[in-house]
Amino acid sequence: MQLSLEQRLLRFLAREERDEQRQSRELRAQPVAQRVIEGECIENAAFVAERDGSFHFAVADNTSKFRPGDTLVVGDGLDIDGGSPLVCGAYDAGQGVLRLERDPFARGVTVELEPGASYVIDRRPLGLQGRLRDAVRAAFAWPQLAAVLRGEHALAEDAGRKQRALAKLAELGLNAAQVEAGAAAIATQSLALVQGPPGTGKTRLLAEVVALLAGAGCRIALCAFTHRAVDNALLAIRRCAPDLPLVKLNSSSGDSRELLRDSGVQLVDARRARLPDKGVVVGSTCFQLAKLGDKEQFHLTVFDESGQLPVPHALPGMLRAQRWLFFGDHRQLPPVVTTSHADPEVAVSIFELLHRHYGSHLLDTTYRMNRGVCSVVSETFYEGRVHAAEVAAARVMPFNAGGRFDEVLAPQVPVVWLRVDHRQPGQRSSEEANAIAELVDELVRRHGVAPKDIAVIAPFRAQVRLLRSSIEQRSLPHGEDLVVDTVERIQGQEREVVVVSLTAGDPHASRGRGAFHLSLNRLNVALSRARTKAVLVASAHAFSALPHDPEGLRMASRCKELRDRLPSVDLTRLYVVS
Amino acid sequence: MRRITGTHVYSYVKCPRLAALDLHLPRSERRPSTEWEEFAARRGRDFEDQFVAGLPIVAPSYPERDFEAGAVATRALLTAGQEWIHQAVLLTEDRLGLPDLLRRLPGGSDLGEHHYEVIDVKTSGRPRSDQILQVVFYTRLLAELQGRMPTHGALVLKDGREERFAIADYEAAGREVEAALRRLRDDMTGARPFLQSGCSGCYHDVRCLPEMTAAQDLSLVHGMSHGAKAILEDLGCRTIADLATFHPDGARHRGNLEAALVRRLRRGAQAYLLGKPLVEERPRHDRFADAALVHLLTDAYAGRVLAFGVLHPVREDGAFAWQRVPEGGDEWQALKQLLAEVPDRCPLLHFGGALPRWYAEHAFERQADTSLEARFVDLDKRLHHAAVHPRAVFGLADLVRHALGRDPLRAGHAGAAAMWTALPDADERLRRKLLADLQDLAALKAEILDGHPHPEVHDAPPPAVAESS
Repeated sequence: MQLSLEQRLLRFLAREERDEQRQSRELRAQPVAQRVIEGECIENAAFVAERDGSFHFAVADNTSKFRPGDTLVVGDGLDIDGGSPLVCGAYDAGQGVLRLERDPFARGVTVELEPGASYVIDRRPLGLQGRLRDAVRAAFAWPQLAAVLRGEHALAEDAGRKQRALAKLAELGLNAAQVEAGAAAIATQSLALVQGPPGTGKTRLLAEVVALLAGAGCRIALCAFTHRAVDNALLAIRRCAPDLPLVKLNSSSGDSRELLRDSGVQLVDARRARLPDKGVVVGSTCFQLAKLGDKEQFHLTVFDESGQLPVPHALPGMLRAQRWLFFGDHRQLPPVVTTSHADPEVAVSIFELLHRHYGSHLLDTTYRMNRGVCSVVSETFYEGRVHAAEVAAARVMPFNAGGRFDEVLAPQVPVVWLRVDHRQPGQRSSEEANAIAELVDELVRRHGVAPKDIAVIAPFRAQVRLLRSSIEQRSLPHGEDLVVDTVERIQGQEREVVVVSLTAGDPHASRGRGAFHLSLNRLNVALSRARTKAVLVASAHAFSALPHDPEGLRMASRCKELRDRLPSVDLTRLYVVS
Repeated sequence: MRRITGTHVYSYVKCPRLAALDLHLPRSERRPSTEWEEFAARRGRDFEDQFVAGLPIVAPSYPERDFEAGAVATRALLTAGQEWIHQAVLLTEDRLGLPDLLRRLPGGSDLGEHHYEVIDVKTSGRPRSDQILQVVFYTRLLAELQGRMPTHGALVLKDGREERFAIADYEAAGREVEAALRRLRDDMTGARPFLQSGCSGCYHDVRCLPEMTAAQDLSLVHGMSHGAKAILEDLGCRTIADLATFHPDGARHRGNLEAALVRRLRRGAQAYLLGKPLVEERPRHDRFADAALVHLLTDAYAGRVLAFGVLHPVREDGAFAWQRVPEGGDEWQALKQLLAEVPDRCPLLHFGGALPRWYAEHAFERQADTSLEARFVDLDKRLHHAAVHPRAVFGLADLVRHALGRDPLRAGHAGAAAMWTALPDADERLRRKLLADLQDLAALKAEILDGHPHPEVHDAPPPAVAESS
């Protein structure tokens, strides 16, 4: 039976929901030991005390995947539903203290914990399917939008508007590809896509385009998958247009909220919002936009980071306008898809779906990466179509010869593979963490690279915590400025030097994880944060994976090519116990 | 020198040891195929014949197994520019490829104004890595012969659909597999056996399993991975007896392995030596006092259910009902009829992904009420992790054999069910197999999921235990 695109999207949503529920059920049926091994549980968490509204637990070794904001339950690990609902706060690896917060949504629940008693901490699932099914049905009930999604729409431009846009954008000091892409976005009668590889000025172009359109009286919805992406785009628009009315719908995190307020962005509740009729930009996540009153319509909806936006999630935003601009890059972070039986045609981002039908305007000049870093990124992930701008091409990292890692940090090899051939089967590698802590120490103390100019990236949260702890032990000056995080948390940022810990050392264990750590999109984002130097710390065993699923194999095969392309320095003997 | 073939590539992806044994041992050393394995292979050949019957194919003609002659004949067909070449012989000094089909494409090569790409015909419903790497292997051979690398290769799947893929996306992996096979051909000591899911159906099992048992190989331990085994062996913990009393002092002495993993593996070694599963304490909400067991037998090749069975309540002596589904019959209706006898809201326990997969494929088209699916409870992962088993376990058969000490094949192999349907006693065979599997599952639930947790074993002197494979 041939299913329509609408049916396939509905099936996709149904399967996503089902798989989320099933995974949660399966996990909660396992013994504590197995949940700990899977990183979904902390055992032997000794409750210390409640201080300032936070619950402090002594956790000597946190190997879990929990991150701040995750909803958790604290109990005996056997009666999971009977435990106390709390929210994950910060973990201080040095002190071995995990802080949990009250859950503002768990009203009327009393949290009773006994100081000194030992608890088990589990994840608490959240169901967030929302209005996506309705949005899919509404989108296909609207013939124009249905045709766009099916790839049956004929693109058209307003020639006069394009000429005017070309002239205006050229005055802003943009490069040729940016001017062309921006003019196409402004002139489109329906939709335009702009692919922005790392450092190519995608957000700047989005801001200039939105500022011009809003300045001309358009009422614009600005949408992204995360609050962080929406906030970044709003702040970029503010830099281009200091007086433009900017509104943000609902909850950003604390820091971001202050930053937005200080920049004159009005924060409003989606359900009570009264928005100007024209000349305004309303930033929102897709879920929040769905909460606006039905009569709220916009001249355009502009999507940022749309390479991360699953198709159904984009539809509430698309239903609010008749013109759509998509800024994104399907070669960077993909949408998060749970289901294991994904329909490959629809389990993609809105950017990728539309790119297949209509193509996109590629921004081809990076102002971030120097020639060497750009060359590796461009050849590996963009078929060699991206090049470094003159201002960036010849940059090198500060280097002061005579250190332990000279071969690794030498400026003539901008991207290098530091081999530490361990066999760790889990989601942490002390071997890589130790090597990276020493490498970062040398970067800061010998070569004078400021910690704020260094990022350390790992695929797994447990490894991120281990790395943080290993680096903190070295008491670097201004060490608190150093970013150590997963690739998801660092998208959109850049650093002078990037160190990537691939972590996995058992190619057979990787089969089960679907070669997550070998994801080309994630590796692209990780390496391309670097302005002058990227160090890939990895075990040779990680690259020998042969995943059973074709997509996993494709990624593993491309990673083997990357490995073969990189110069390597083998420091296994220093870091692997034998 | 033994030539590397596409079959070796296929084997290598499954297990390097399998490829090594294939390269070094004569066929006579293999366990003979079972009747149902022959049946499956015959269906594969029939499918290929049926597929190529609709194409204007030519095939090289040569004396049986004279591949040099076959290569010469193939070369003549390639140069002549035949549109489709069936069972070509692609030969170099150390490799031999026998792809199902070569398809002529425009674009110059050493052959003239055309070149070829490889197409392999498979009976699976989705492409798999081993199949893709086999096509890459043939393509690399073909590229040497025609002086041009085709951009794509393709697999024809059981529904006749052609899955094309870019060779460049997989070539690095293909090169690496070839290099690994050359190393194994020169020296097979690099491929030590490691117990894994494919071992029980492998034609070299009679060789590897006794070898691993005699050596008390760590891969026999429940939960062991290649990486953990390598690290433990480097630390001098080489046998199961070593592991059962392995109490490293600090991270460095456990090779930086996670403490929780080492504890679990040690318990696995103790379970092996005790010869019985060590039941773990599980979350209390996950109990199924009133539930039914649902099981199905399928014909994977035909993509259909042969029969459903239900046991309610979940006890070995629970009421058993079953329903055979004739070819073209309504599978959906068959299951619904069976479940009509089971109380509403009663959880439906099953093993593995077959039932939810079948449901997902059918339910959406029928816009079915999802409340049925919400009642499914998969026992697979629960049974795997609710106890530390006395040996590494992969499927239901392993669990039945090692946790219950029963022969899981006493009513036949589930893979043979499709073959039984042509036999006069098909009903009886299907019924017996469903009942045996359901009773095994009920027994596993009682022993493992509802069993009393086993206390920590504190390095008690292990009783002598024979490996029960």
